[in-house]
Amino acid sequence: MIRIFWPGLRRCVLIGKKVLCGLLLLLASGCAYSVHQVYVSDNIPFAALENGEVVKGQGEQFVIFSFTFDSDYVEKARQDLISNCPKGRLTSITTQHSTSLGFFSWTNKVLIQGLCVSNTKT
Amino acid sequence: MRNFILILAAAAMSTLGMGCVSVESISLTSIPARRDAPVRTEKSKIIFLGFNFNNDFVDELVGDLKNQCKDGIVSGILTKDEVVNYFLMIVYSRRVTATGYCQRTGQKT
Amino acid sequence: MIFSRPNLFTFFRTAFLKAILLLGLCGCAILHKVQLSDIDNRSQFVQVPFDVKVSETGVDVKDIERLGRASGSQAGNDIGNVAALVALFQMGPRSGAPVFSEKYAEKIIYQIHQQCPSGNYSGVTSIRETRKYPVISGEIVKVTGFCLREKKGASL
Repeated sequence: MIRIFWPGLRRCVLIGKKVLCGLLLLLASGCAYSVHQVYVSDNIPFAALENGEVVKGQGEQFVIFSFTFDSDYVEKARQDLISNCPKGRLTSITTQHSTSLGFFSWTNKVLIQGLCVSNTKT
Repeated sequence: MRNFILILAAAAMSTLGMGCVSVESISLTSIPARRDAPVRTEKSKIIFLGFNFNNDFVDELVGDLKNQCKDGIVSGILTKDEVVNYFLMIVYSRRVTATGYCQRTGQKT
Repeated sequence: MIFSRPNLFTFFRTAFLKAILLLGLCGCAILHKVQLSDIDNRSQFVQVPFDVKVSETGVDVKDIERLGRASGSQAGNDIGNVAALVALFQMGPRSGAPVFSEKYAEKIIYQIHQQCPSGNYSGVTSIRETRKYPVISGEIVKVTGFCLREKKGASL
């Protein structure tokens, strides 16, 4: 019985292996990231979460073959954060620096989140 | 001729790679509501072949910011630590930049 | 009979390999970054420690490639080749193994305020570390600090 079905079975296993390898390639070559650091600042002067609004600022830099000549995306993230809280103070700031990995290229990202507290609330 | 082309290619690659910047770490402290007086300082050190015997250049940052904001509070400090690669990591520079906002005493945050 | 020379050698060799395997399964802890915030150590406050830990599973395709090739079989070689191909799509600066979601640490600010509702905290230590195992790893972000509560009857 096995002898009859063996060539067919073998073919199925070979096709199955290729399909599995293809699926693995598809899955694993999907977006991969590396988080380098997450820094939480203090909360001075302190404010509860309900007294403010959580705002965020982001900056990105696309890099090919590691040729980068500046790191302005960091200042851009800070400006973005400040523009989302033009009249209040920002406290409880979380700074995340990560990289989105790719094919001979990657994107450096900075995400800054903070609690925007307007001057009328403490 | 072949050697000359190889040397030229290597020089071109190294020139292209000059000043490649990568960020090591970033930190940001609480930002005040008044942001009309920014202050900034930058200190760097060139390192050759990885021979670095101290990081004292970092200690000058706080003094520099204090000089720019006398009798005040410096807050909202963004500290950026970078590596600037000049030549294949044989010659590179460690650069730390700190920018913040100065509030003179008597001003509301 | 266990004390004859070949048996003794086999026994110690097996025990040594098992010990190495056990150590490997325990995982290696790698510290990437540590940062501290301001510390308010005034005696008028009671310091209640809090701890927030988030993590994501990282997959190191280079480990898969090495293990595949080390197996010596055709299937292992195929897997090693696929892993090498996948590694080409994961180039860039990295801390630990790559993860498939970068959003796992975005809710930390909410978790801190959940543990310290007044928002009065200080002495925050932010740690980015990796707990490494064969092929997979735990990419961990840990934030510890102290929630400050005023002592009853304390004067400012």
